[in-house]
Amino acid sequence: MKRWLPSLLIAMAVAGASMMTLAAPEDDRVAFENYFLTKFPDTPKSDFVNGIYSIDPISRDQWLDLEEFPPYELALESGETLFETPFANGKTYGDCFDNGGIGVRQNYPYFDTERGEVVTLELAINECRTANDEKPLKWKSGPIAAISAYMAFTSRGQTINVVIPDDSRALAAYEEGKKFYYTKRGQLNFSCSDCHIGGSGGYIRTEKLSPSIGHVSHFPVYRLKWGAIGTLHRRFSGCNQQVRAKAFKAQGREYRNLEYFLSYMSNGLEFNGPGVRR
Amino acid sequence: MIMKKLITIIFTAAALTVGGTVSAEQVSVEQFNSAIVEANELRKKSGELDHEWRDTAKLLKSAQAAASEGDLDKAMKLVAEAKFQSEAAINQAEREARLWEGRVVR
Ligand code: HEC
Repeated sequence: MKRWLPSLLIAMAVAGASMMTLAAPEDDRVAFENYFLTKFPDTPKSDFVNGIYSIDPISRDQWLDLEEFPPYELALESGETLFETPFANGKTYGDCFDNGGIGVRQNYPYFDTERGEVVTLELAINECRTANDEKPLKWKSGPIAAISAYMAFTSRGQTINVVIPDDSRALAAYEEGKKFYYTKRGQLNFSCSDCHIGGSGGYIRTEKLSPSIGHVSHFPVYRLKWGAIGTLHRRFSGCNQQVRAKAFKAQGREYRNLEYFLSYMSNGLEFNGPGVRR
Repeated sequence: MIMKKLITIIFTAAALTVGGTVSAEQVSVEQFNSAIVEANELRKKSGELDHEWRDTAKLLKSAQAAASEGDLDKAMKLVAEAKFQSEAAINQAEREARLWEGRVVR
């Protein structure tokens, strides 16, 4: 019996290790979702798309007032105009997307198995431009956020359904995003999870922290603090910088993989962008 | 926790030593130049590990500015701070490579 023990332990360790590397994203997602459902039992699952307002009744009332004349309305209008205005070659954004680009937000982000990388909506918008001999737009705010907002608006109510294709590179992209999310960074030594899982519902200085689940659903977002509409990667930059970590490039590999992971964690919820936040 | 304290003590001691020598004797431009090159290499390494801190490059910029104005004491102090940050960021990267997985919600 005793002689067995070491090999048994080794066998168990090996099994454990391979289970860890193969830990199915779906197991991650279910655990993630259950964490928040348990922590915030008064919040219906579908309401997590509303970020902090899903768990904070006081600010929720102010937000509902804001939504009556939402400050992203202007960006939506300019986004629609930009979206419909033909490029110099006569083509439009609609020519680059399925269904003329209407109601397709839920197709992003996806893992492109030909290119071997994650493609986000904003990346696709700029690649549409360069494919039509137009200059790419700046990534974090301005016209790209407006176009993205308009496309999101036409997709309200569609379900987040990120798929990880049977391709080791896709799983690697997911894993990289997951690692990024749980890794402490910066001089203040915080991970995303420290604030948006463990800290969710609590306060940092005067700000209440939102749960991560649903975080991607309503972008781009008009932030009162920015006085403008901005993309998800702009928010990622801000959250990195506030813990005094150097931000990564918007639409660089790191943030796209992070978006891939975070979106997967919100699978099953609805897209409801654009949103408005403080 | 103890480890953390120990690290802080060691780094504080190191920073004090650097500060001490700086004000005790004159720093040469050559010393400054090699110190800032070394600190910048460390900054780049922390960046390659995806762990560069927000203000490290700014510290090096300010150090360069102070040196250009002839204030080598101040310049050396800023370089030492940047170097400390990069070393801590590199340690953080190494530590986190082991620790992050333990935080995953299960
Ligand atoms: C020091 C705490 C802290 C850390 C660490 C942090 N955030 Fe945030 N984050 C905030 C605060 C504060 C807000 C604004 C209030 C809110 O919605 O939670 C916010 C907001 C957000 C939002 C917008 C939520 C919405 O409803 O529009 C997203 C998305 C986000 N963070 C993602 C991240 C990601 C990804 C990371 C890791 C790269 C991260 N955050 C790290 C504090 C943090």
